Amino acid sequence: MYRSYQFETMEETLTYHYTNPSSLQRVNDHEELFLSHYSEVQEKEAPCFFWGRLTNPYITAKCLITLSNVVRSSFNLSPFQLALLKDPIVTAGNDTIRFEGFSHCAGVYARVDVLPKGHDGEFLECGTTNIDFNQDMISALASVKKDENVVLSVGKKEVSVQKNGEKTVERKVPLPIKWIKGLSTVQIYLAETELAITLNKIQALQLFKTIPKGNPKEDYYLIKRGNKSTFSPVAQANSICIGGIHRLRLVENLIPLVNEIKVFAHPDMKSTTWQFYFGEVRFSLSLSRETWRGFSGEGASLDSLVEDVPEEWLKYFDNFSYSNQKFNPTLLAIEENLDINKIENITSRLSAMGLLGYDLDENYFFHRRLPFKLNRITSLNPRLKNAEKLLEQEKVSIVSKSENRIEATVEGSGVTHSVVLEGKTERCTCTWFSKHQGDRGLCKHILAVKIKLEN
Amino acid sequence: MTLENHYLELLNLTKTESIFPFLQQLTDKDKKESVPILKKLSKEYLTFTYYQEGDTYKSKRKATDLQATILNYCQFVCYSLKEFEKADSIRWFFKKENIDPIIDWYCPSWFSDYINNQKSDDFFLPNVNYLWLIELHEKGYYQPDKELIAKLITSCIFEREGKNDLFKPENLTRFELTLKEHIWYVFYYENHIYWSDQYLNFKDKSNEISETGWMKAFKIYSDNGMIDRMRILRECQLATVRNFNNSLSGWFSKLFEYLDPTNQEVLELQDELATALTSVQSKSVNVALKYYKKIATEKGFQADLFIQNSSVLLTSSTKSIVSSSLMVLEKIASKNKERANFICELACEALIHNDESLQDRSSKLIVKYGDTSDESLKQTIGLYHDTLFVSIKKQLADFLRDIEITTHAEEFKIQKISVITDENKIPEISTFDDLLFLTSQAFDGNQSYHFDLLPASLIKFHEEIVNGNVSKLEPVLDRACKFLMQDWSSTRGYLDDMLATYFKDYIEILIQKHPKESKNLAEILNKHKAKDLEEKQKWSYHQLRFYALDQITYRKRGKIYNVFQNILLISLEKIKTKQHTPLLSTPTHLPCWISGVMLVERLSLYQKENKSPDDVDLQLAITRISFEDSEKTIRLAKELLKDELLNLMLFLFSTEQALFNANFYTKAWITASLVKSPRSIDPAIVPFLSNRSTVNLTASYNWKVYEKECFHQVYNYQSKKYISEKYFRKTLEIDIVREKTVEKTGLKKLISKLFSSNQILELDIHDTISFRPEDVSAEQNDAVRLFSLMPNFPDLLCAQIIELALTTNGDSSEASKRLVVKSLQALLNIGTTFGEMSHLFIAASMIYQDKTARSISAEVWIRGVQTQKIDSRLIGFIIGKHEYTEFAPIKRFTDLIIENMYQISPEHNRQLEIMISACLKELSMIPIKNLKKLIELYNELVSLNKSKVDSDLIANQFKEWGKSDTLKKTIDNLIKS
Repeated sequence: MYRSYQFETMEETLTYHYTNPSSLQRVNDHEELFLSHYSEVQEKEAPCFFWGRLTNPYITAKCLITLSNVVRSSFNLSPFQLALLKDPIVTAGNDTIRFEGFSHCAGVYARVDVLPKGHDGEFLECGTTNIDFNQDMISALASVKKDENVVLSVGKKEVSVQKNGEKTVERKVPLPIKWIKGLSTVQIYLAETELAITLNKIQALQLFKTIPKGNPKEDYYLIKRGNKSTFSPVAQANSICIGGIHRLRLVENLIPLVNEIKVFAHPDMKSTTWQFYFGEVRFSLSLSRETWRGFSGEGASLDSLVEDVPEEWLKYFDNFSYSNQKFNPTLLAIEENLDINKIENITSRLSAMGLLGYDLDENYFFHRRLPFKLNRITSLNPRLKNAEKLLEQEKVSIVSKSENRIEATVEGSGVTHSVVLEGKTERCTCTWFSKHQGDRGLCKHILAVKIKLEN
Repeated sequence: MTLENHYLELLNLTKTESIFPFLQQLTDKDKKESVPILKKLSKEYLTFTYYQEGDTYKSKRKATDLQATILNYCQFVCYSLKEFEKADSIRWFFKKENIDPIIDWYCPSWFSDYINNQKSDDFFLPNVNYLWLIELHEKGYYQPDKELIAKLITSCIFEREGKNDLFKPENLTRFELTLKEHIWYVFYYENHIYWSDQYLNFKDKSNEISETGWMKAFKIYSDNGMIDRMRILRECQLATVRNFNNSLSGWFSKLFEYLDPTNQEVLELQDELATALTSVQSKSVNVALKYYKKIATEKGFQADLFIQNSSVLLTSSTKSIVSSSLMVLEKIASKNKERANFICELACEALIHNDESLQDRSSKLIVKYGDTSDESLKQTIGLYHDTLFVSIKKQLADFLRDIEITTHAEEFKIQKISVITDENKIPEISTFDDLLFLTSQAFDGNQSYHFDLLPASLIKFHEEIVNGNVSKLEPVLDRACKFLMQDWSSTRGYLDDMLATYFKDYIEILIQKHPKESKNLAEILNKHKAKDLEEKQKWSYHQLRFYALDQITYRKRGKIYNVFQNILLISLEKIKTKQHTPLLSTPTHLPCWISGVMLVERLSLYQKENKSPDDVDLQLAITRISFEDSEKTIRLAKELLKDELLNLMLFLFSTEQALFNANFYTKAWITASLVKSPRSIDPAIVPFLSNRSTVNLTASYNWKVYEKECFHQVYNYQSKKYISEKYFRKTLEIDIVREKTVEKTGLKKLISKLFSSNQILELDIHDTISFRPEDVSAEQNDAVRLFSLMPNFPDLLCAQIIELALTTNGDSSEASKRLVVKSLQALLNIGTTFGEMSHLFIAASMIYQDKTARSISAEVWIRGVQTQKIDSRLIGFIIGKHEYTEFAPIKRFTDLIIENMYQISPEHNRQLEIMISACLKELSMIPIKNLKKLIELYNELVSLNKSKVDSDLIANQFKEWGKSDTLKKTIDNLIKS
């Protein structure tokens, strides 16, 4: 069974080792955008993932600049260690290159997809890795012109022997727990969101002009008045709720360049995703429910982690898939002779473990293994860990169990909580549940009861 | 002699140099062994202790300055980097006078790292400067860090000698590396060159150069060829996209301007200028555009490079950027006639702005260079049709002919909003589980109706709370107690607190009823009560939290809270006396309505049990009544009710002239009469009103906006006294009639205190809508619930909120702002017909200082027009009365119209015209600031609605305002049209 709950403290650091800094430099007749990469789970020594020409370098550059703005932004109150930039990750494979990253507060997720027609090059390796996003390279991207010949290289094509004493780029950052957690759990939200509205460039420009000034604390709603979309502080039928609307300003500069924008909303308004279409390049931005709520703390994945994932499944999964490949659980079950009933929920479990990403436009999960040790990711759910503790201490008792209703008690601190699972409704008398009513994932008491029932 | 004694001896030396022979002969082993000794000595000699002398605090340490320096030298020689970084007083020791004598014979391996590691410290080593570091570098002791050099170099051209501040640009030539390499780091790394130029740059009297500072320095050395001028210009532009702060980016743009590049130079820098156009700092973009304007018609200008960035520039939110970009495009069009249509299409992007001058500039370009037969251009212009001002449409008429135009304006339909629907139904509490999970969340304020649902549900389920169910309430009680004990949070209202107290009281009843099963409950309660008493003993200011609900008085917050308190007390009374009749006032439909059918059914239960409803409960049920389904309600009432309650319901719901026939339930009859016709008094109720003020019942208060004479205390330095000084404050005043309460004193006060509890008060609900108009503390968190008291007639509460939060235009507290916002949201959700006080509240909110409040008030108007429940003329009239005194900047109103209220639907446009016209009529004959925009909007709406300018305005205000230079043209245009 693969579940590790070894708690890792905030003090732990993650070190990115890059052999060279990323850069944009003129090489012969073209500009070469070289992206240096590093992964702590990398099997080979610094392979080259992709090498080839970008079809629309101007737009790709603008999207990457916007991604860097997202990665360096923070919208919560404490700008703690803001200066320590978390590098985005890139997934290359299946004719697609995806760059993804999170804001420091883990409330804004951004991804740039360079689609098959967005490049003309070769994928020398498949995989996911961190890439060095240094300021010099980002500044240089601003000078990329529309008709320029730009070659993108994710990793060095020719392995150069490193000279003695040559300095590598090494950056230590505190282990970005929120970041990794957010990267894994946002995919579950993405899979649940639905297309709400499509805007052409003019409509999008008009809409973004209605973003209120300053940093409003109140929720805003995307509403439609006649043919015109606008942001309003008042909800209407079918309106989309957006907390921390000022975060949308991160993408303001992309709008004049866009062909179309699609807005996707979570059915319970837990997040919104703004997908920008530039033909062969796509940019998407997902916002959490509120500025102070990162995707990391939402507990969206908790339910899926209740059941263990057998280690051999993960092995099969890794053998079976390659980066950016569409994930088909049924096919996996047939090919690897796995229990078809048990595999039904595997998608959300695998994405919670950082092994899947979600493509909103194509509507499927794709394989993408986060470049962090797996035990880091699975150990990032303290609520699940606390639920396990409750079980260990035998604090969970099932009071009654019928076909449609299960009642249990869980000893809390000084009081005994009641948990009732009835049909799809799960309720608990604890403070967490009372406050959020399941809106931010299950509480440890309900989780503990569910794990007990599972076992 | 031990090593420690050696060190102690060193401390007695009189010259620092005398210790060098000793330090020089130390081996690595000695140094290692010295570390603990030095740490011990440092602690003893270098640690500061603080003491008081008279009124001042002073500090001292054991070491003399000499001894401190001696110890620092020892640390320098013996410590590792980590130890040295942690050592005390090193920061002050690290200076040229101390380091230079030792560095030639001892330079620790970590010397460079120690200096460079301090680079991110805001208080970098105070005695280290650029010139000294480069000296050390030249001698081979120090390896420069680029970021640190960029930071330090910025102060190297300024020196202080005695009282003189000197400008020393020659310092830049002392070392070859400076101009060759280090000067460029300033362009690459974050630094404070703008700060140095502003604050270190004093005019140097001794120097012949009248102009000083970094810009001058760059000019001197670029003019004499020691720095590459083109490189400076290039780097200035590139620096604007390096994500530096606004000041630094702006400084580079200023330097670029200062160096005054020639057109030829600018033409060579087009790549860099194009890069600067993508800067996030508008200042940098504006400077780049300034030079674009200069070279746009020159030979060698790369138009395409500019064009590729034009979309972002033309849609920028900075007006000057859009305007300058259009100028550049116009120049490009004038030179490239064959591409004129393409450039005109690009210029269309500026039509997106709700700014007439920008649209005008764009349309003039299109008219001048565009081809009216070009289909692509016509289609592009058509896309912006809805955003165009009428004057612009006229300019572009030839392009807008024969093309299909999509309109954004909403088709107007009067909306009838139903509240008694299945979707609006408040979920029923039908099982004990439902009750349990309702109680556990009731204090979280998840839903405003939880306040009513909890007491109603406890009456319903009280008998089921037996055996195992009793203990299930333990976590809920624990939460309620913790809630009462904890400090006040920003989201907690007085009503949340009241509900927690109510629940605690309910548990006490339960403990009495089931002492055995509720042993744990009693323990939890006692534990918290004991803690409360303990806190009181510990802190005299601690206010006890565990009172019984009927002992708590909300007098300080206003009578409005008494209604809520009474409903909870009625619930407790019913539970205690085992009455099963339900509360009448529990809302049945969102947000706070009671369906007539449900009220009749509830009343019938009372009649069945031969009980009389409680007065306050019945009154509240009537004020919350929805008049939808009246016929059905009347039918059912006739079927289920009898006597006075039947008559009361018929009186309430019948549209015919039903008879006022009060007998036993006089208060309820009066309430019913007021709910039926809230803005007038039925003569039939007059005999029952005794001394009650009818103004307070109908909210027909007088109000005015005027400059109130006030006084404040000013200190007079001559007389050395505070004197009273008169000033005028713009004030909105409402004449709310307040009942005089006579404060009881002496024995009367004591008796009242002793016997004031344990009773459900007799209240006239209309008289309870009253706050104490002093401050807003937690009312904002209760606002939605407060509005739920009288959804049919929010005017009374609106008047109170105006008095509490909107009477002046000063800086409101966050709590006041939230109260206004929450009240507007409540008004919007209720969606009732607004009276004058509600209009006053909405109109005052439209020019209130909080942007969110303004936006919501616009939404209230939009919905009010859709449902025909708002009078736009009255809103305009009220805003006009405010603006007569310039109560708030009129710009707030005009911005609100442009951003939120304009072009919603043809009907909204008509109503907006009525509103602005009514507002203009109330304004003073002397034009107020920024009036022009409002008149322009009026003109726009008159043209759009194809109506005529109000003749009263022409005869009065416009006639007078037309004499003003700023308004003459606008008013002439208006009258001509």
